[in-house]
Amino acid sequence: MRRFNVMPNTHFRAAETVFRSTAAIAAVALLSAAPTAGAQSTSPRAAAMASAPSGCDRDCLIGLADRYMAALVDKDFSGLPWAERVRFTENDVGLMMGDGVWGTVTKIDDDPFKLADPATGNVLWVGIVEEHGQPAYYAMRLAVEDGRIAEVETVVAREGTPAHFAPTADYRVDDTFSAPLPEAERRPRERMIALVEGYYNTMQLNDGQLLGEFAADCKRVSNGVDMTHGENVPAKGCRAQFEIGYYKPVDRVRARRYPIVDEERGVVVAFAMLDHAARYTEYQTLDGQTLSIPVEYPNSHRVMELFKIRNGAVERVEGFAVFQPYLMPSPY
Amino acid sequence: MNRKNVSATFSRVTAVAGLLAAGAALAQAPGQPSAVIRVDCDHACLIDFTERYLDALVHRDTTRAPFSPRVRFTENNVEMPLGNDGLWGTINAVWEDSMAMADEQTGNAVWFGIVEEHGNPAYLALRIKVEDRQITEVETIVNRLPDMPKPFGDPTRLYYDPAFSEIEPPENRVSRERLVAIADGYFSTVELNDGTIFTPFHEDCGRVENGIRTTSGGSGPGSAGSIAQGCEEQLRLGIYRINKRIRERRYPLIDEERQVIVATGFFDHANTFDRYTLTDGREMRTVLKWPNSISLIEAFKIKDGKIHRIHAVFTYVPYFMHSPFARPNLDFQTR
Repeated sequence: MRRFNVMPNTHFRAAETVFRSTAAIAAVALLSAAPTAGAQSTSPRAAAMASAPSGCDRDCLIGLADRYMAALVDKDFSGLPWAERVRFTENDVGLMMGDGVWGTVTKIDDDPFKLADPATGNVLWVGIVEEHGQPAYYAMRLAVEDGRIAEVETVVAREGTPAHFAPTADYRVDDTFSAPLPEAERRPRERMIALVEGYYNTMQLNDGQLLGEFAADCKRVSNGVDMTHGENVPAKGCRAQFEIGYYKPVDRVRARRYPIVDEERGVVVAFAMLDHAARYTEYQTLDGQTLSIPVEYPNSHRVMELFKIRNGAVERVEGFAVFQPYLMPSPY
Repeated sequence: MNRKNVSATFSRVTAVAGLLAAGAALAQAPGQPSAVIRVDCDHACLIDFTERYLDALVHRDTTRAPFSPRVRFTENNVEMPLGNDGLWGTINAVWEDSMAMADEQTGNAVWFGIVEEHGNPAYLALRIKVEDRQITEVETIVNRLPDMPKPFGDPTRLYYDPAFSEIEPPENRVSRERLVAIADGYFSTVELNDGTIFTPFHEDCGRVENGIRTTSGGSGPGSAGSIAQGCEEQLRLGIYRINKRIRERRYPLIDEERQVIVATGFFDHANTFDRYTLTDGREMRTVLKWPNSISLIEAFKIKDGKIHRIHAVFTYVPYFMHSPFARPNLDFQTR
């Protein structure tokens, strides 16, 4: 039986381990010297934030994302600040820099969505790119260490695969993902991640049991397709769809990672794999509808999704999905 | 005896012991368990193992075939537990018409045929490895619809050429090494295809890919058969120029008697260009505009030392995806 990887990526986990160990040693030392000093946080994240591991604040991270994309469209990565060892993936396959979309790109979005997380040193760039004039949904994540790019993860959802795909002409990430929340509507990072976990836990093997919190008007958009309020959906809204078990054919939401969290804007960036074992082709929803699965053979979807969390509930989910071989491993 | 001498003696003893150990380990070809290959499962036995595997598969019951406790299973290059996932969770039929081949020396057998998932036919290419009468490796390529544009012939009209099972007279055979060279030369010809020919083609050479004869007839506008006829003729035109790299080439099955060799590998389409010119000046346009790879199992029948028949099953996989069976520092760096 495969186990779900609900931990952050290996790299981040390794970093956390180091911080935890360091914090533990520090805590022991402090306890020996002054027992009352144990009142401060020893959480790995606090240690990470205090030491600014990326060596790069929000503006610096956004600037690096812009530089990377400018280099991409110029097809020249030589001027970027690279870490000693760099990981580069496109749709879960490790490549040498310059390969993949670097060889096909002809244009990039001039109005992208960007989000940075100085605590983790990650930044995201989301928009439309064109390959020989053909548009694709594109998400790019950089991990920055000491001001240098150590990871480049790209998710490119292209037209013509069995995955859903809406025309890109008018696509842009919804403004809600850029808008700061009033203080009262924000939640701590840990709770935000728990809410996204709850969303995915509800989705996998969806049987009507709700394991998360969903806003009344919660909406999900994937590859430009309105999945919750579009045509022919069997129920309107995230919650209503989960309540009838619409997502039952998702057997597993695997390899979940949350490398970017923005408490101010209430946004979590999630990376995950959705496995569809396709053991049946029709299924019944809890309200009696008979539905067909879209692809009648085993497949997985690599997803990058933005979650808007407001007032302790998932309000909007928006992202991209790439059709992948069933159980395709995540390299992170 | 002083301390230094003790040390020197100890070093010499260690070195001699090391040489003996190394000598024992290198007394046969690298990767081989013994200098003499013990054949405990012959051609017919290996073919029977493919039948037993398919019987277990269609019944979704792994107890119906002898699997090693450490069996490795991949479907379209993803390794997963055997018996419940992938095709094992969807299959409802195996078609009788099929083609199988085997290599007594490596213990590999390959089967090409049609399976059904929920009633939908799919092309299956299967490789199994048998060791000590147990299946230790299962590598499958499953070509299904819907997918991106690719050959997918009518399965009811699929033709298995009997040439693959015909035993060649000894005087017409070439060695295992030459069979590898011929198949490898085919891939080198297809790679960066610019009209240069690196392998001998029989004048009657024909190729079936995913059930379509792509070297004869015309299977629609833009198909290889409608551009040119014949293996060598197509390659002299450079119609396969988009193959940046034929990678992770492996040759797990060689049958010298029948002059058959089966290869696995990936065709990388980097698609850094979306139009190109044939050697006769015609301009071609790529169908897909973005990087992708195809993963295949491909059988070659060699006649008189030349490629006579090619039978392949392939499917799209993410660009540059790897095989869990490939050796990263050998199969990739050299190919």
